[in-house]
Amino acid sequence: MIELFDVWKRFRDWVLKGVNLRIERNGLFAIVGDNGSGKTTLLRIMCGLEKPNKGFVKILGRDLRDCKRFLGVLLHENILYDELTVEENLNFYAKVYGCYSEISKDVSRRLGLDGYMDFKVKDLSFGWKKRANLVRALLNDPKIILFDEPFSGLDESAREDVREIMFDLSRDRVVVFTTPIEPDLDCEIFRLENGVVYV
Amino acid sequence: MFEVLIKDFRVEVRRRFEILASLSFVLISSLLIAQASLISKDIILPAFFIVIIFLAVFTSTTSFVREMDSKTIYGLKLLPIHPYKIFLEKSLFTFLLILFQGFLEMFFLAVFSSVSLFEHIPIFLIFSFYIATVSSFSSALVMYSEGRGFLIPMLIFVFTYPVLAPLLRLDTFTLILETLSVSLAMVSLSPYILED
Repeated sequence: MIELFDVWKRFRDWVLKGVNLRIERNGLFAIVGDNGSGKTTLLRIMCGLEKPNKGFVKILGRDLRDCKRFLGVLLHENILYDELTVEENLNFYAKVYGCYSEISKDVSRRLGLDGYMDFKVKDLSFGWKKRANLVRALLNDPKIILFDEPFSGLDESAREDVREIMFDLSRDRVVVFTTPIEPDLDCEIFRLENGVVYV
Repeated sequence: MFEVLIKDFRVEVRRRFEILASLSFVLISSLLIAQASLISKDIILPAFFIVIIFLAVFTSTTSFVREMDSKTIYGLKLLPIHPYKIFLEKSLFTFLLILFQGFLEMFFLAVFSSVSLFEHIPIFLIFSFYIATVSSFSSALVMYSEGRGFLIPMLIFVFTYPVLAPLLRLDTFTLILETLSVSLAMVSLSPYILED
C-alpha cells in the first residue's frame, strides 16, 4: 500500500539516508523519532509535498501524483484559510474532492467541531484549528491517512478522542502518524534514527 | 469548476484593509495623473499602463505568495487537481482583480482629467490578461524565496519589457501574439514550479 524505496533527502545535512519502508496492510503505524530526526520530512515525502533527492515512493502501487485522491493528510501547520469559516473551508475542499464523506462528518461530531462551523478559522485556538484540519483530512474518505504529530497542541480529552478516532479509522485504512514519544497505542512502530528506519 | 477562483474571491472580500488600500491607490494615482495631464494630455495613457503594472505587483501578493505565507499552499498541493488548473484559476483571479481596478482607474481619470480611455478597452483587456499571467507566474516563482518582496516587482518589470513597444504603439495584433506566446510558456512551466 505504501512503499518507499531507498529514499534520501538533504536540506543542509542528509536527513534521510536510504529509507526503505513497506506497509502492506490496513492498520495503525507510528513513525517515532527525536526532534529533527526527519519524521515530518518522511511524512511529507509520502504525501508528495517534498521530493526526495534519491529514491521514490509508491502508494497503492502507483506513482504519488496519481493517488492524491486516496490520501488524507494532517500536517503540523494549519492549512485552512483564516478569513473563511470552518464550514466554508470544508465546503471548498469537499467541492474540489467532489465529496463530503460520512466519516469526516462523524469525526467532526465526535470532536465537537459542529459547534464551531460558523467560526472564522483565525478566531479558533490552535487545538480547534487542529481538529478542523483533521476533519478536512478525512473529507475524501481516504484509504491512506498520514498524520503529522496528531496529538500535539491538544488537551487530554481531545487526545483521547483522536486516539479513538485513529484506532477506528485503522480498521479499514492505513493510518500512519509521527510522534516524538513512544505512543500508548496498539500500533506497529517504525523508529527513525540517523536517517534510517528501523522496524 | 472554478473552486479555487471562488475561494480566492471569498478570501479577498474578507480582507477589507487590502481592498481599501488598493482603492486608495487607484484614487490617488488617478488624481496624480490628472494633475500631471495639465501639462500634457499625452502622458495619460502611458501613465495609466504604468499604474496597471503597479497593480499587478500589488495583486501578485494575493496570489501564490499569500498561500505560501499562510501555508495553505500545502492544502492546494495535496488536492487531486492538476497544477495547470490552479495556475490558470489564480491567473484568472488576478486578471479580474486588475480589470476591476483598471476600470475604476479609467473612471476616475475620466472624472478628474476629462479624458476618456474607454476607447482603449481592447488593448487594456489584452494587457491586463498578459500582466495577470506574469503576476501569477512571478508570484509562484518566488513564493519560496525570502527575497520575494524585491524579486516580484523586478520580475514583473522585466517580463513587461517585451510588450512595452506594442503597448505604447497601440499595436493590438503584436500585443495579442506576444501575450499568447508568453502566457502559453508560463502556463506550461507552471507545473514544474508548483510541484517542487
